[in-house]
Parts: sequence; C-alpha cells; structure tokens
Amino acid sequence: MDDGIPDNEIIRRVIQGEQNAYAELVTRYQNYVFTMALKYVPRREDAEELAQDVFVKAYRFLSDFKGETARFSTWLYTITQNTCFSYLRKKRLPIDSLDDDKTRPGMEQLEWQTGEQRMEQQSRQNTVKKAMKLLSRGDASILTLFYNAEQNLDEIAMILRIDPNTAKVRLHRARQRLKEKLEIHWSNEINEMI
Amino acid sequence: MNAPTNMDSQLWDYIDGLCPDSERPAIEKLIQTDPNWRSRYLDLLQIRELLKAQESEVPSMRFTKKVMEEIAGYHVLKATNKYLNNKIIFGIAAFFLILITGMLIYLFATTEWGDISNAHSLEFSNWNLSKYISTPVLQVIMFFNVILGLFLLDHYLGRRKRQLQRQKS
Repeated sequence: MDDGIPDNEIIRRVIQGEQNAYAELVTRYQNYVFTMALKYVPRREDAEELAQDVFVKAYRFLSDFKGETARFSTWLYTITQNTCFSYLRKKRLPIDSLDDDKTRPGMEQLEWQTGEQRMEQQSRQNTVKKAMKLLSRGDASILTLFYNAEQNLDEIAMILRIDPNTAKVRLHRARQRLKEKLEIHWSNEINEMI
Repeated sequence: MNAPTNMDSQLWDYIDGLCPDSERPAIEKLIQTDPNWRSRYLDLLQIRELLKAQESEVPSMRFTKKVMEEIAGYHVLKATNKYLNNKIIFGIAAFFLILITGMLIYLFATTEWGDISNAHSLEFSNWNLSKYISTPVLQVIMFFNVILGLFLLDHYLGRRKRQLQRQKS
C-alpha cells in the first residue's frame, strides 16, 4: 500500500491544487474500498457507485484528514462505512447490526442453488470467499478490514466507532462464525484442505 | 463446549499476534506438547492463511478515470477546523467578559449600600408559593423526574451490561 510516494505526500500535493495526483490514491485504494462496498450491496454496479462516492467525498474533505493521527486508509474506510450506511438507510434496506449472526438475505439460497455442481472445481480461496458471503455484513467487514486491508484493532475501532476491546470481541466472533460456516457447509472440502 | 472456544480464542490471538507477550511462551508450549492444541493450531493457521490470501474485488477498468472526471467539477474544501478561527472565539469570549464586567461595575456603582442593612427585613413568610406551583404542575414535574430517572437507570444498566459482556469475553 505504501509503495512509491507516501500517501501523505500525495495528499499534500492534492491540497495544494495538484488534482491529478489524486488518481494515484484512487488506484491504490480502489480495490479495498470497492470490496468493502460489496459487503453492503450485492450488485457490483451499486458497489462501484458507492466506491466512487467515497472517493469524491474523500477528495472534497481531504483537508480534514489529519495524517499525524491516522493512516489515510483508515480515514478512507471510515468514509466508506458511513457512505454505505447512508446508502442503506436511503434505500431503506436493512442495516444488520455488527452483532447479528444473520446471513445476508438470499445469499445462502443462492449459494446452495448453484453450489453443488461447482463445489468440486472450487479452489480453497473460493471456498473461503463463499463462506464470507454467508456471514453478516458486520462480520465480513471486520474480517476484510483486519486480514486484507491491514487495519489493526485500534484502526478498526476508529472506523466502526467502537471500543478497541469490542473490536477484538467482534473480530473473534467473526472468525468463529466463519469457521462454523466452513465446517457446516464445506466440511468435506475443509478436510481435504487441512 | 467452553474449552475449545477458549482454546480457539487463545490460538487466534496467538496467530494474529494479539495475545500479550507474557502468554506467548505458554501457548507455544501447549502447541508443541498437546496434540489437540497442535491440531487446532494448524487448522486455524490454515484458515488465517486463506483469509489473508483473499483477493480483493476489482472495480471496472474505468473506475479511476470516472472518479477523476467526477472530481474535476469540485475543489478540496477548506479544513473544518479552519472555519473555527481562534481569534473569533476569543473575540466572542472577550465580548461577554466585558459585558458581564460592565454590568457588575454598573450594579456596584448604582447600589445604595446603606440599604443593605435592611435586607434581612424581607418577609419570606409572605410569599405564597401555591400561587405559582399548583398540584398539576407538581405532578408534571414529578412525572418528568420519574421519566428522567428511568432513562438514566436504563442508561446506567446498559453500560454495566456492556462492561460485563466485555469482561466475560
């Protein structure tokens, strides 16, 4: 993530009026922002629109980013989280609590309708990816933030506006639930895998 | 049921580097000596590796271009804290301080100090409070206080419950 010019240097240049420099930040973080957005909305088009909104908001409020207290990625994921919640509220879609162990509606059925035939061809990673889709949005988000977006517990707490201890508890629950999903739905694959 | 969960919890923390340094040697020893711990450790390690290896989703090829086109019509806004100019805040504070000081000076300057000695002669017994506070008003105040009390109690109990949950976990 920190390859090349540091984020803070790019931000300084953008604030000074070098708008084109912002493209580098977009390229660096677009995948993670898009992945996060996909945890909240199932359609790729909607997720892409949300991700675009996130980058526009981040650009407009770039002067509010305080590089000395947080990483740019943490700040950006906070905007992503807020933008996704606003979108769900606006569309009156259910915002499941981070504590809920509810599977996102329709996902489980979708997996089972198409799952059986494909299972044999699935790679290990796809198995985990499918299991992630069976988790609640909160669980999937926290796992993505911790394992893929390289955010530590304090940063996750900042993004989700919770206490670091609560973040730790939620991370633990999310991992347990993922493990349960893997064991329940793909026990054969897991046995082969492990 | 508790044992595996606790084992999992400790192992996850060990794998993710979240457990305190003081606990690490004990967990390492358990992994080396106890086959159950070792097997569980390898299971969880495998899941973690798979999680870490998850590829992020990729938006369309034109994504960056679309964002850049969108922001072309905007400019970076001034930082929010810059709207709150310290000079203005101090100015407002100074205004109120001067106002209060002025009022006090005026009050002291216009007070006839000789009359203060008669202040104790105020007849409090003549005050008829019932004229201002009727039974319905009292009931409304009491009702409001009860609601406020319940709200505060609920807030307190909720906070305690959360604390206990945190400690348990």
